[in-house]
Amino acid sequence: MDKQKRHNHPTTDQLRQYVAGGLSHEEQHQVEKAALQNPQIDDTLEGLIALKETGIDTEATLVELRQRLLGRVEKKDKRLFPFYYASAAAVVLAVGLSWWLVKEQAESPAAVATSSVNKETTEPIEEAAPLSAAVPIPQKKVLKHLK
Amino acid sequence: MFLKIFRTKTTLTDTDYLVAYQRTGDLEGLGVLYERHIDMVFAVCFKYLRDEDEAKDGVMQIFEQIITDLKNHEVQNFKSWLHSVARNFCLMQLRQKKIAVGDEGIFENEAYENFVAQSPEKDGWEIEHQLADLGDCMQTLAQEQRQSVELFFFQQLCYQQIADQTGFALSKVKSYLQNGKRNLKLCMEGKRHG
Repeated sequence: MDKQKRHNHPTTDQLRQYVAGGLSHEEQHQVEKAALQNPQIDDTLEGLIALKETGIDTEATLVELRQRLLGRVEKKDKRLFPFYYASAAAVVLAVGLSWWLVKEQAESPAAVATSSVNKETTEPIEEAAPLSAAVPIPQKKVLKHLK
Repeated sequence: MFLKIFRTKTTLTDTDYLVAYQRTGDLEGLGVLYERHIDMVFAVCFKYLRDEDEAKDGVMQIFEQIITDLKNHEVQNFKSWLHSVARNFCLMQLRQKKIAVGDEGIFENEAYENFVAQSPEKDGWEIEHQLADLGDCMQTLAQEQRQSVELFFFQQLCYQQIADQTGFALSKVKSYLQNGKRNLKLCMEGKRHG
């Protein structure tokens, strides 16, 4: 367990504290030991020390870098979001339209009967009905004759 | 979708983000992961490039590189992998510019890293032999190196304390340690192989 603890890597924040002179001697030793064993920590620490020596405002630089990163990542999102919204709108529109059509059809039988277009098709049927009704009569007569 | 965006991002580990990116290719998640380590990448870039603007551009170009690299790479430890990518990127930049960097520390640690990484678990008998070898090898070191190694590794002092105690320049302590360790390693290996 102690071995694991000794191999815990300092975070970049701790390295920054080291550079700022905010660590105890024992903590400094731990950071230095970790840096001697781990190239990632060593490189980061040397970079932070070099930045401090050059007097660069690291915080401002990091804010700028985070904004650039956000801009890079958002570019793709801006292309993606309208696509999502457009497809969602299309689905809503399609569902709404089909609902309206179904509703319209369900209400329509009475309207169909009274519409002027359908009057033309119903009249021949009414005419045909007497004809078809008249047919059986001669048939019966024929049958009687046959008998 | 929205739930996923507003889920607390701090609770997710690097590996969670990696797995999610490799599954979905979602750049937003990868951006969050990269942002976690952006200060490390910037510091590493600055260490090698020694120019603020070049280091900043490097940070953005390394992000572009990992967007594609992560699609093909199995990564166990993201932070140390990212460091390797960043360091290789910067070394490549330097090579392209053919700039000789006056930093003797760039490759210096590697011998010791290998020594640390490859030291296997020893049984008691072997450790006794190694301690005896170590004692002999310590005597072969230059005085500054021996003193620095003793104070740092045996007495666990920090560089500042060693500098105060010995009068060595603070900037020299690290190189005494690095050289001392490298010489110790060579000496110990020599004894092990006869």
